[in-house]
Parts: sequence; C-alpha cells; structure tokens
Amino acid sequence: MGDKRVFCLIMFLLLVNLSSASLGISPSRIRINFEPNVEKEFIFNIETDNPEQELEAYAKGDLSEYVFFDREKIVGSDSLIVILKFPNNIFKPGDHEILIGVKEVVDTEVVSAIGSVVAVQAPINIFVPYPGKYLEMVFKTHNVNVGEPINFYLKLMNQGKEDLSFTPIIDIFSGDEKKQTISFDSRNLKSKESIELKKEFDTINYSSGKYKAIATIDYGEVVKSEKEFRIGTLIVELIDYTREIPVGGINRFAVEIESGWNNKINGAHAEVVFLDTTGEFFKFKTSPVDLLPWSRKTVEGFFDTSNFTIGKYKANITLTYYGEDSGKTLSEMVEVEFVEGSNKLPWEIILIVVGIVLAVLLFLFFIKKYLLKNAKRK
Amino acid sequence: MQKDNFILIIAIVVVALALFNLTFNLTKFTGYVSDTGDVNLTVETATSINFSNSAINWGAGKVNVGETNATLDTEGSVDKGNWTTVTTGLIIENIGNINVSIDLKTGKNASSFIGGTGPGYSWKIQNNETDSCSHNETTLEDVYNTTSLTDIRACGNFSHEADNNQIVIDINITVPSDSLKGARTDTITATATASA
Repeated sequence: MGDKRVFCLIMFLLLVNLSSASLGISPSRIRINFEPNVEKEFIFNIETDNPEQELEAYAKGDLSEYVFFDREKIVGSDSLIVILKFPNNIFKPGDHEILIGVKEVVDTEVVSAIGSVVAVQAPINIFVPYPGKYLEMVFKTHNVNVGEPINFYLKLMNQGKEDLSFTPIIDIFSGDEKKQTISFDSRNLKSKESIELKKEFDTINYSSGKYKAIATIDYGEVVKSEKEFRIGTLIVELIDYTREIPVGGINRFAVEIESGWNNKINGAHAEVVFLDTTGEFFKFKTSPVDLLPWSRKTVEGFFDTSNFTIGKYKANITLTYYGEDSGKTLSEMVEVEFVEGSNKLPWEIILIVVGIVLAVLLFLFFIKKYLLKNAKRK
Repeated sequence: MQKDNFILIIAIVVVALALFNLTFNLTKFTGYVSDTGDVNLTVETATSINFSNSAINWGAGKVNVGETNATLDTEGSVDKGNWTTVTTGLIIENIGNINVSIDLKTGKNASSFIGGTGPGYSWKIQNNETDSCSHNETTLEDVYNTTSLTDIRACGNFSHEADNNQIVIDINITVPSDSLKGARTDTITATATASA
C-alpha cells in the first residue's frame, strides 16, 4: 500500500515548439452557386511560420465527397489547389457548406505533457437553387424629416431554377389607411441572378409620424416584406415626469423627453414653473441634453422643497430645444403631488458629511504637524 | 550700412529674376493636360491563428506520500505533489484579418491521459486580452470544464482587432496516486474557421 502512494507520474520536458505555432488560410471564405456537372478549381494560400511544418489538407461538410486536392500534404507555406466536381444534381436545395481545412501534423516523436496543434478552415458556401420559382427579397428604407425624399431599396435574388418576371410595388400605409402605391418597372430575372432596385419617394404631402411600407412582388407566388419608417419634424415631446416629491430638503425632478426629429437636437431642457393660487410660486430649469434622432432621454433638476406644503400643485413644464438654426418651445400643464418627506437623512448625505469632516481633520493634522516641525527648527 | 544696402539690392535682383523666370515658363504652356489614374486593389481575407504559448509542462513529479491525488493547473498551483508550477496556459492569438470561431478538442480523456482512480482533465477558456471573445456561442465558462474528445465551440466570435485578439486555455488535471506512470502526453487541437 505504501508503495502505491508514491507512484510517480512523469511528464518529460522534451519540447521543440514552445514559442509559436501559426497557421493561416486565404481566402477565408468562398461563395458560389451550384452548377450541374461543372468542375471548379480554387487556390488556397496556406501560410505557416515553420517552413518544415508538415500540413494535412482535409474537407468536411455534406458535399465534401465532391472535393479533391492536388495533394493531401504540404510542407511549410504553399498553395493548395482544391477541385470541386459538382454532380448532375443535388437534391437538397438551399445553402450548403464545405470546410476546406489544413491541420498541422503532430510529430509523434516529440514528447510533451500537453501540446497543441492548429487547424484552419475556409468555408466554401454553395447555394443550390430551389426547384421551380423561388424569389428572396431584402427590403430596406430609412427615416426622414418632413419634405425630404425617402429611398426604398429592394434586393431581389432569384434562387429558383426558373426565370422570373414581376413588377415590384410598395404600398404606403398610415395606420390601416393605404396612402399611396409606388410601382417599379417590370423586370425579368434569370435563375441564380440578383438585382438591386432603388425608388425615391417624395414625402412632400406627408405629415410627420410613423408610416408602414409593404413591398410586394408577384411572380406567380407572392412575396411581401414590411418596414416601418418615420417622417420627423423638429419636436421634442414630454413623455413622463416626476409625479410625487417629498417635502423638505433638496429633491430631484426628472422629465423624460423624446425627439421626433431625424437630426440631432441640441440643448434640450425643461423649465418647470410651479403654480399656487396666486400664480407663479417657484420655478427652476433642468440641465440641457443633446438628443440623437428619435432618441429618448431624461433631463433633471434639483430644487429646495422646504417652502412647499403637502398637496397637489399645478406645474407648467416648458421644453426648449434647438435644431439647425431654429429653436422651439413646447409647454404642457401637469400636476405634481408633494408628499410628507422622510425626516431621516439619506445615507449619501451622511457619507458626504463624514467625508468632509475627515478631510478637514486630516488637513488640520498636517498643518499642526508642519507648524510644530518649523517651531522645532527655530 | 553700405554692406546692408548691398545685400538688399542683391535680394531684390534675385527675386526679380525669379519672377521673370516664372512668368517666362508659364507663358510657354500651351495647354493644360489632366490625367487620372485608378488604383484598384482587393484585400483578401485570411483566417490565421497562432499559439503564442503552445505547450504546457509540469515536468516530472509524484503525488505526495499519504495523499490519494494531486491537482495541477496552469494558474501556478500544484497541490499535494512536487511537479514544477506552471503559470501560463495555452494562448491563442487571432492574427488574421477577420473574426473567427474557435473549436477545441483533446486527443485523450482523463482516463487515457492520466489513468488511475478518479483522474481529472479539465480546461477553462478566458480572454487574455479584453473583449477578445464575448463568450457568445461558447460551451466554456470562466470555470474549469471537462475536456472533450470532439470539437466544442470555445468562442463563436474571436476578434482579430489588435489588443483584443488573445484567449487563454488554462488546464487543470487531477493525478491519482495510482495513475499511469511514465511520460504522459496529449495534444489539444484548436480549429479556426471564418465567422459567418
């Protein structure tokens, strides 16, 4: 039993490759369409930092049986020729991927505890067309401001085996109401071909707001794609505000605002005027913020609530903001409730006060020490 | 004073000659020829990785007398054994110009690598440089997991950006007192593939 407890596990330190082992393959990816009975040749550049490194080529993936190499092994940096012999037919349509890989061959004579080898793989993506008619569509648009033109982009890919004819249309909706139909020219698209189309749309007769665009293509089958776009105007809207404030001490009042413009808005801030029965009772301004297009932010201000009594106050919140060369304001009357405040000091204030006291004491201590030192010298 | 005036006169003469020369040359131009040249180049993408630290060795050692096992890792720990400490794991660097995925596998499991009763062989992958891998699509966490004989996704999106392109694989092994003896070796394979 005692002998068993002292069995040794030996790991020798016979290493040759402690510094670096790099391997690369280029190009990193190839995309092609399936073509029956066609033979294609690709050249991959293999790079390694070890000119004597033996490398092994391999192919993985569901179509790897159609891959052939000019040689299975290379030494050091070199090029590798990959031949892809497509069959007459591939039954499964859609995307397929073959991984062309190169791997370092392990030197079995070298002993190490845990060594490493590197493999790099470059995918060859093969698209097999769908039987019959099959169209894929990518529809893009963007937000604008009132009066600015908007562009609609269509990318259409015929991924079926048959050629297609169609006339793309885009319907513009405001809510459920169709406002307009935009037609493109009629197009013919051969199998495996793609086309990108652009249509400029004049928004001059459209007011600001949210709209919906639905692109429709009828090529025997109907394909649709829906996008939302916004037409903006220079406006900042009041979204929310602090509705309840404790009486006593300095308190925070926050106003959440949202840009309805497609450009940056500068210096957006709020002025809050509290009213009582006699009129204006107290007012303050929040800190200003810049708003990115269509973004939402909170502006805030702190004010002394000691003079307020418990109850509801009317407050006029006026938002002021600037875009391009003009400034605008928007006012809204709201109601804010002042409630009984907590008599306890917030822990943040306690910490700040303690911090200040400590700093003062330290300062006095060093001053005293300095003065004593000088007195001794004299 | 006279010397200063002389230098001034010389300077005026030189400037006048230069202006005359410029005017003469300009009037010789009979037309204006403009040409443009297009410069075209394509930068090919490359998948390329490098093991900047490609091997781990604890040297020769044994389980301490009276202990049932010893634990070694690449974070500087050797517990209940007398192997040499190792402070660095395997470091992989993305030296290509695209982001890649990294798959890892070992050549052996704990039984075939170390043997004995209750051996352990696990790994942990972490960023060696900030944000090199955001750990998306990874089965590895910031804790040690049992190694795998088949490829597992260590990092789905391994950045190639400078200063954000290194991940480290730390290894932890448990050596039982009745383990296999002699030189024990294994090889970890890291496979890089262009991210989708």
